[in-house]
Amino acid sequence: MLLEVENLRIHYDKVEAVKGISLSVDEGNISTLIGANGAGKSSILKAISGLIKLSSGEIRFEGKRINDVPAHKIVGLGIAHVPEGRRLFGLMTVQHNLRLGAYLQRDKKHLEESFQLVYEHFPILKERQGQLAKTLSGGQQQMVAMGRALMARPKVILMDEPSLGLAPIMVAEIAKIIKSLKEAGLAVVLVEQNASLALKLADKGYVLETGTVALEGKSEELIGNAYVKKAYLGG
Amino acid sequence: MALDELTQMTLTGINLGLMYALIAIGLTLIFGIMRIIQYAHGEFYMLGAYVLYYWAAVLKLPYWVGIIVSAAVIFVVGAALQLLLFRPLHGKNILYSLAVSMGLIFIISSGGLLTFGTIVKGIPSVVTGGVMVFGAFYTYERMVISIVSAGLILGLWYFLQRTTTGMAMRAVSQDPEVSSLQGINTRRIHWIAFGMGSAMAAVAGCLMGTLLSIVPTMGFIATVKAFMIVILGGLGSVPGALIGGLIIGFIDSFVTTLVSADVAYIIGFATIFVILAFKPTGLFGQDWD
Ligand SMILES: Nc1ncnc2c1ncn2[C@@H]1O[C@H](COP(=O)(O)OP(=O)(O)O)[C@@H](O)[C@H]1O
Ligand SMILES: [Mg+2]
Repeated sequence: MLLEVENLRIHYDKVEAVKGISLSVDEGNISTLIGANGAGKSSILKAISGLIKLSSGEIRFEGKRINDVPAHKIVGLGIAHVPEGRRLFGLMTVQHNLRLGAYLQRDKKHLEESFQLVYEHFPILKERQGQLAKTLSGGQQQMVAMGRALMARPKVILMDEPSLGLAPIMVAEIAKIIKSLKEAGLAVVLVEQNASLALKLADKGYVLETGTVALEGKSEELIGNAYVKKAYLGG
Repeated sequence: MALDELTQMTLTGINLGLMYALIAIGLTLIFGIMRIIQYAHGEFYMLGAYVLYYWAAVLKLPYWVGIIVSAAVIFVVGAALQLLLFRPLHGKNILYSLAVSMGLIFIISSGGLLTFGTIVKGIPSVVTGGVMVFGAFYTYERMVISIVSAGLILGLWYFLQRTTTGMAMRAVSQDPEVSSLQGINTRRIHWIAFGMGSAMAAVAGCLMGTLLSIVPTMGFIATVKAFMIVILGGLGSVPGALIGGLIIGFIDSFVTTLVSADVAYIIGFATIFVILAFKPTGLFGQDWD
């Protein structure tokens, strides 16, 4: 097991946003967390990345407890996080955004390889490398956000709603890229409100409702589940 | 107006403007990265000048080395104050850090009066001679000081644009949370930025102290100027601080020569009010939250 979350609880002041959820992510697999706005999806990813403190529970990565690892030391372990809403460094160029994804990497040759890898996945970014990130279209910004995470050469990428606000053709493009990341051996934790897209891509899914796991299972099973169909797949 | 007079005022404007910019860039760097209002910034300008005074005038050690020593000493002092006083307040209401920086003004300037005395001191010049430019006498000292100021500003710009630590600083000023996701230790960036910003004020103090004279109370005016400049240029913007510095430098030079220093203040502030009326975030500013 690459990444495990056990009995995770998160509070904002007195309000409990995540109420004891457990999940696990296998190497080279896509796991998805689906659920409505406010279900607690982003909070879970932020807890894994060390951005917010957990009230209780345990997070393990490659068998080691990482609850108390500060945020800036998480990426070095092999966990990269693509935040909700892209959150690029808008006043910096595409190239500098990508460079910062590999902030901890000081080896020139290794860096060069990472840039090449990212430009293979996102050829358009090579053309746009000198452009300020905020001037890109939404889809291209999402590519920069994913590329920035990839620059760290992680073992697992946490992706928070990558399809949010994108045109259908762009969503398909992003889906293709997520698939190719898996083929390259990466594990992905995909947070989505677009449940049909997410379940099609994922090996395993968790349905979150107000801070608890309502359902979990293989994606095929979830796609076939009557409740999931009714509540999340619009039929 | 005669050409020689015009040339003189222009050269003085550039001279002052670049030194002002040096102080203001330090202040804007600290604000941009930590979002704190560092009212005691001018005190580091004053302390920097005194470090050079003791080094060069009292101990008679080499002047240029003294500037580097001054920058290094004030870097350490600034970084230490950040770690001790400002770090615990980070993320809290801005009024807390404001109170601390206000307190620092009085502690440092009063401490300065007790330690350095109230008598005006001078830092001996090391560059002599000059050259006639359009009938105006331009001292080599002022020329060198302008070149050093401009060089430092360029150096900082290069640092921010090209080095990983510089990039990390820009990243933290834009989005600290996402910066930490990239592996950037924002707390480390904070003390480095505070130290660097303070050191820039210190160098400006050294240069200004060489041209004019030094007193322990000189910091406050520098703070006022620096604030005028960053508000004019846009809080957090390095190019804004440079342009703003030059604007205030030119106003000070021209108005002080033609009318008086008091009127220069009035015109300086009036210019700021006019610019803010049209662009409330300053020339190069952005909306901060
Ligand atoms: N910074 C915060 N302060 C207070 N409450 C928050 C904060 N962030 C999220 N919440 C609350 O926690 C719950 C879960 O939010 P979130 O994890 O963002 O859900 P999702 O990503 O599934 O939309 C929501 O009720 C939200 O209002
Ligand atoms: Mg969310």
